Amino acid sequence: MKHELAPSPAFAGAGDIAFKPRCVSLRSRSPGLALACALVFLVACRFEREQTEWVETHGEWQFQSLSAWPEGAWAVGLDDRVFRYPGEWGEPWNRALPVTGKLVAASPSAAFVLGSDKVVRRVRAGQVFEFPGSREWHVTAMAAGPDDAFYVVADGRVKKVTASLEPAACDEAATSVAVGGPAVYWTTPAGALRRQEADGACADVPLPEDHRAHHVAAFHERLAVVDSHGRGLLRNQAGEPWIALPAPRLYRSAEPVRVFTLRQLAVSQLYTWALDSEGHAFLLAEAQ
Amino acid sequence: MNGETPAPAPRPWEATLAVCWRPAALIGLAGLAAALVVWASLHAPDYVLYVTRPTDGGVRGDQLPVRAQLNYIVAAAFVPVIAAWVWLVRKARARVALPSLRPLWLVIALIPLPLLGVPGFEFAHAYLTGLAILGLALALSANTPSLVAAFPRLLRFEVSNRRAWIAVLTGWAAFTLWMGFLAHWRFITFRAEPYDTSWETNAVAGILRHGVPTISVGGGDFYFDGQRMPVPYFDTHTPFIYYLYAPFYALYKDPRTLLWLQALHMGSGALGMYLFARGWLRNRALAVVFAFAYLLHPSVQGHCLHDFHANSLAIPTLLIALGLMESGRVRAAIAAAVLTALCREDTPLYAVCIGLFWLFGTRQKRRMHAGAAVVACSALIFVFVTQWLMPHFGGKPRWSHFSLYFDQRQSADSLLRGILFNPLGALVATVQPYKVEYAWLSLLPLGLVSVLGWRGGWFLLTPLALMVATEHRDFFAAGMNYSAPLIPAVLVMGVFGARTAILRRPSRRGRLPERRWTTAVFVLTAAAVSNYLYGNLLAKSYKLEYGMWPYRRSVRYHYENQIGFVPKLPSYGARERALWEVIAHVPHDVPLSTSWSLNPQLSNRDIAYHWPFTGEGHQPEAQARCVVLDKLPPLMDRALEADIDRLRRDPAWRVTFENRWGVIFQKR
Repeated sequence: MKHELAPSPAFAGAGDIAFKPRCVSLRSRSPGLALACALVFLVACRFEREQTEWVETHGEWQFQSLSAWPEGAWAVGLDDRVFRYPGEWGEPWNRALPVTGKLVAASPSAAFVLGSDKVVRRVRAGQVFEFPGSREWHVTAMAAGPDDAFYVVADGRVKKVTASLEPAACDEAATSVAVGGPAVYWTTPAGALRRQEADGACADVPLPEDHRAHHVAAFHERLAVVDSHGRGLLRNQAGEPWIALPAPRLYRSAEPVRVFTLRQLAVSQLYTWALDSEGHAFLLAEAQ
Repeated sequence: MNGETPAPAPRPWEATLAVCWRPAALIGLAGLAAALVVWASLHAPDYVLYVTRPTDGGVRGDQLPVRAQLNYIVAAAFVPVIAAWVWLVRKARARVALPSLRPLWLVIALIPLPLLGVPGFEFAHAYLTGLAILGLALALSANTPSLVAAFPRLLRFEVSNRRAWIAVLTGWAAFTLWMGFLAHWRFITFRAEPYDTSWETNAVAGILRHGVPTISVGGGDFYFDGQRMPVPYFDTHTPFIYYLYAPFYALYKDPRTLLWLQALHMGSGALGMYLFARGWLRNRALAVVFAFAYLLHPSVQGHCLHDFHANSLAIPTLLIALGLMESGRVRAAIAAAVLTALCREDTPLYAVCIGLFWLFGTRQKRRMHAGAAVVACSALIFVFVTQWLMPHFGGKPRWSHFSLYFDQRQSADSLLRGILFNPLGALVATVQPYKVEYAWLSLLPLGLVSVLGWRGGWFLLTPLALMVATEHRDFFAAGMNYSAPLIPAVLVMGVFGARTAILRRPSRRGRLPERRWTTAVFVLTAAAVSNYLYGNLLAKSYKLEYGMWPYRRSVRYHYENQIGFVPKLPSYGARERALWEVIAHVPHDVPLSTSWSLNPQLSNRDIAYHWPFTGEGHQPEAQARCVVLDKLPPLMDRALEADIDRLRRDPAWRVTFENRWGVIFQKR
């Protein structure tokens, strides 16, 4: 049996159209069905916000010290062994250096390691070189630059290492040091970020208010700073504003998400690395 | 006499106690459970430690205030419990029949529920989670008969043929749309992997270009050994089923075509499952339940997200063969069984089980003939592929995946003797903890009913041959392609297990429709909760990444370093758009070398190597003239910063396009 219905406005001019009751019923339900489908889809699809975030490196390891180089990162494990990332298939952090230590600094061609015995060593192409007399330097921080320049904080002051230990042009008290090509950066015990130009001039690098620098990393003009509260700041170019980095978040199955402060940052031209306060290693995944 | 019945004498206290203690205990347990569930919902993280580390060096001081709250909640819960006890005793004393207290089991079954909301709990504590799922399914199914009794129209538990097909087809469509979308999203957000999105896209594209599947993605000369590029894929895998995919791929030559087709194909197993279950369970409604259980199985869904693999396609094809046989289409069933054998070099071992099942599973002459034909055909295909075709192309099956050999030869007969001549060794290899856990997680979505379905045990021969003899951890993670052999056995045996539960154990289980209802609710609950926890359809998390480093970019939650899962889908933002802009600028028909993350997107090219291999040692026209590198954090494969610098300085190369996230170099 057909039910004669008045033509829908959508069919105006098309003449009378007969609809079966079932069609009418389906038509009346279709918005509801479409809404239900849309709701299910919306509920089911949960999307991450587009955001800059730290992504933990594979392996769930913990480290004492970290340094970036163009082919990844070096890091000193809790057992003093020095690992590199990315490693081999199935072994993301693989042991790669024949020395042990407490601190590591990397340049494109070499890695510098402060051993547990306080001796500073350079490893280049598998060859280990001990800096003579370095046991007496009392090194607390190290940094190597893109051109292999090597600086340390020895006896609490910034020093340049060539064949021996030389005072830097700006012979100031420091807690950490970074070499960004011609420029050298360090943080002072008072929380200032200082810069030594190629010509030896020394200057303050202004930081946002409420930030006292605790640790610095650099690659040319890319600068990364950890402040005294464990917050991270990044500046990609001189003159650009500082970007506040997010806090690293640690995800473990069957555990709540834990948010950590930063202990150390390391930068290369493209990549930004971090150690959190418990030594987990992260890579920065920027959204933009 | 006034006709009134004298009130019965109160039941003696001793008898009242005997009548009441069980229901009273159940009420008390339900009260305790309710209190625990309320408290656990308020303090889920504490609850996890409370449950999973009960002997963790004593109770810490900071845990005391949270635990103290439980005392108050339990006390509050026991107010209605005591009232219920008083009510119970009064009823019992008055000799009034007590109502069924079965619904209280549902409350008790809720105890583990707050744990299941914690990210990754289901993977970190698979057995506890499994027991929670089974408990919930049991509690629900136990209450089903009384619920159904209230609706006599439902008691029959049957649907019309038309409605059953509408339900199955709707499920298939929803599965295809959802899993196709997830696979698509995974691809466009650069979670796809060269192994095996690139290989398989190469292979299908190769059929169109060269008539045979070809590949160019590999580890360099050590892999292709100076051969003419691209190399025929038959030295590594023999995915004949791609010849069916090639015409569709020709319509839109992009890896996403294959991902959508894979979702469609995997979902089509629901049709086979429906026909097969309808044949053996003699009930369309129950058959629909099993079709849905198939679609909800986490492994089935996972196979749509672990890139693209020909052996996974054997699962739905096998089910279609079984279903066609049950619906009386013998020739079509044999054709589907042969197609199963042709999926890849290892899938004749799936198809031979179909043949054995038809041959020995029934006494119908036609089936036996069909079974014998399929066994013979599968054996022929297996021998042809492994003994002639692959060696002819300079390869062989990946015997290196296996380790349970009888002698030093890596071959099928050495493997077979390794199992047959050393049954206890095979048993030891089978009960390795990770293998048992995989079996548990595979059986769970059907509520373990498969263990009752030994009539379908023929299908266990495939995992016996392909999974017992290996120590590779990645063979035992739901969704990874090598984990596929167990799934047909679980599904087929699940149908027979349900048949056993319904037909073979009628005593004390009520009438047939009630048993059907109970079985259906049990299986569907287990399937739905397992899907929520381990699957992807409206699930708790998305399982997008498979395999240990470097196969995962998310590095958030993972299962045994094999499956990476995230509570939210990765965003598609400026970074992804920039990378797709790079891809859009890559010249066509030029041999490429690409970074790992971008290779799947460019794998529809005839030659798309994996950087740093650029085709040295191969014919000049196959050497890369274009290098496409990303600037993403080096969470997959190598860090590319030094490579980009080196190419920039190399006068043989020039940058033709670059943005924040990628760069294209072309040879001058």
